[in-house]
Amino acid sequence: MLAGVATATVQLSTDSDLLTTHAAVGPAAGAVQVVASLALVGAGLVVWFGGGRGSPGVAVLGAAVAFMAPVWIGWQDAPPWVQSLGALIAPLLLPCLIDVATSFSTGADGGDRPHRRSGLVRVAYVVTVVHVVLRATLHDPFLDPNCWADCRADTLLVHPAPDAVAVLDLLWSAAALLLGAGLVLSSTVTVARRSSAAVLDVGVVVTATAAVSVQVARAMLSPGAEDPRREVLQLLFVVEGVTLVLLACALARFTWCREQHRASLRRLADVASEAAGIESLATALSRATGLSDLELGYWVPAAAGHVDAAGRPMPPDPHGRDVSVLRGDAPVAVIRSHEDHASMALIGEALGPAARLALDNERLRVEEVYHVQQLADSRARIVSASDRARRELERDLHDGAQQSLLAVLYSLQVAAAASRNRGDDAQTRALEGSVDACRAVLAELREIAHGLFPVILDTGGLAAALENLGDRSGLVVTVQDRTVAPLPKPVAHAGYLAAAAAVAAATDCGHSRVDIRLHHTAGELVVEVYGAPAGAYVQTHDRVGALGGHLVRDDENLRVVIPCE
Amino acid sequence: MLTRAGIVRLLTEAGHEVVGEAGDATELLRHVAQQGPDAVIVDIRMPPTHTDEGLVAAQQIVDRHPSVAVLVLSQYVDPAYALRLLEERPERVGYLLKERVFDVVVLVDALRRLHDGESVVDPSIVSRLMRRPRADDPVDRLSAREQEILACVAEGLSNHGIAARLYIAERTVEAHITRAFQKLGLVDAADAHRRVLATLLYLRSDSEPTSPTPATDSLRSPPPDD
Repeated sequence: MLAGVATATVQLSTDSDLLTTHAAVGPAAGAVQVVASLALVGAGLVVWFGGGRGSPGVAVLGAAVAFMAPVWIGWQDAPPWVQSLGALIAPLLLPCLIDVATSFSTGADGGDRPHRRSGLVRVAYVVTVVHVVLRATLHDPFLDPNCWADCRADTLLVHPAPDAVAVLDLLWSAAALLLGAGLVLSSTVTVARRSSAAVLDVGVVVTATAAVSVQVARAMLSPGAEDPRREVLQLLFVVEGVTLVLLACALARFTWCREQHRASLRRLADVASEAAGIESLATALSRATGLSDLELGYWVPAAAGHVDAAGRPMPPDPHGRDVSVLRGDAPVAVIRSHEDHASMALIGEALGPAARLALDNERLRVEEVYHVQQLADSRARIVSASDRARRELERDLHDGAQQSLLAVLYSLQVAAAASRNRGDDAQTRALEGSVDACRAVLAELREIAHGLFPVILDTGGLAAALENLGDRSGLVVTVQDRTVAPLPKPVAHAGYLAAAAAVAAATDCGHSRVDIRLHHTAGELVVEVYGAPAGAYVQTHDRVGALGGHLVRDDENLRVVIPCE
Repeated sequence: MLTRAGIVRLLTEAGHEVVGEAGDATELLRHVAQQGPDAVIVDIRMPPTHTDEGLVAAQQIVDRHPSVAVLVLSQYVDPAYALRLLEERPERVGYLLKERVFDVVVLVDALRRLHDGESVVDPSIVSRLMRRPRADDPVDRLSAREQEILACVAEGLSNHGIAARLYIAERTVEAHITRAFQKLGLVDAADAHRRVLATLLYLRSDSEPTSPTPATDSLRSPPPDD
């Protein structure tokens, strides 16, 4: 219907006697009018039908009608009220364009969300309506010296007041300037910030703002009726036509892209239910949406935040661009991508119930992973705390108790020497006995300290420590070391304690020989102990398990695998 | 601290001059460079980690000052530490347990031996190595005397020193050593210092004879056949 109106108006504009519009100046201007009108109508329909019943569609169609209005003002055969209506409608182009621009810069075009007009848009509509109503009631074209443009009987005229109309036109120019400036400012701020999904489409915002600027320029250059024959105004008309065509293209492109996303998200519902087991949900989502850096964070209440698929906590996006996915009222996940945050907002809303269910299922799995990860971390912390405690105890023994005993030993020896020099045999013997006892205590202390953790394990490495273990044990211990790089301390400690447990068990069982082999392959330390008797190895199991390793044993052999990462 | 004060007192009483005392490795190295002492006594535990900084400092002294004798005091009866030191330079280095040095006779004797160019290895380490079980133990094939002399060799004593300790003639000592080394499959190095290291490495390894000239790898036991 609107397309029909457009073609009719264009037809009319060519055989009109009066110049009411640029379109009538020449065929080029006529072509600009036709193309821009059709483009705006088309874009308006696309936005209207493609984007739900939101207001941007209405605003775009309103802009299209307002843009065509000057054409039918010059329709001589029409009833006078049609011409008057045209004069009423034409100035509405400005607020309609402001409406479009702000709709796309505040994210109000959510489709399913109710449209909230900004204050600027409301002011624009009110000012324009007041202006056109006042002008219609006060402006008598016959008294207007510039009536060449719309010399028609104004059917709405109440009382002709040319002076008031002149003031009104000046006020309108000023209002247009202020509104235009306000829009440029707000558009610049939102586009520059590009925060969250505030800017739905930069292209739409920029072209609509440009079209508004052209409107403002026209109002400034020619208050009241304008003379289409002025070259500056003709140029502005062409620029306006071009910006409106670009706006229409931007609107169409945006709607098309959004449709693509929606279609892919509809596919996602199937994809999610089919593929969850085979590939990760994030992969399926990113394939369906075309966002390659898409990340998913699952809500885990115990973590008081979101957690990635591997169970690691995922801090919130510093720019606040995470899109939350809810199932009912409960948070399920956040979707994060740095590529195209304008369409991200749509993903959150377009996800179907099946996809939400799939995400929630995945969330439950991730919650388990998170708890397991927490347990593993806690085990590792306990082990390292116990190592630290052993090390401190060892140091206390060496630097505290042993040093004090050495001082006692020194005094005893000095006393024994003095007593020997005096020739007091009985006392000398007593003191020498004490010296021997003191030495025995020192030796005992040394063994205790060594049993906690041999210092050589940290300074000489696992193989050296195991050889040392062989020196001290009462059985034959061979060590074959094929590790190349130095091992991380916790790994070396666990490997040492595993081998030490096996050697201790072999000693208890009266075995005569234990062979230890160390391999270091594919990021894992493998400790093989041949001749290790059967036993529980509970502590070894705990320690190795805390590092994510495992223990394999058969009758006479023990094999311990510890990841080194 | 107590140990250091005690040692200083013992040495001064025994008529030796203590030219400097140091609290950490840097200070120690500076003293050695400035004073050029005959001998240095180092505690293996030094700041900051109190593990083996003293050994590292000792190795540096051995490396930079070939004429300075170095005696490392330790509380670890770990042959690996003694071997690390001996491998750097077999002569004029010693490794003794801390408690032993309060016996002024032992301390002065060790310093004198080091000054004469011998090595000193703590008897506890040697006896632990001698007692160590080995598969089909060749050390068991040695006579009691030969074992005794082998232990003396491992402690770093010269033939003269062994003869003096065991009250036997030096030529008897030489004969025993030759025989013992033959039984163990060791080549008696002409260099008296090398034989200390060779003996220790042999005792540390598992029955297979080791090369008398040590390589770093020989710290590790030869791998059993796969």
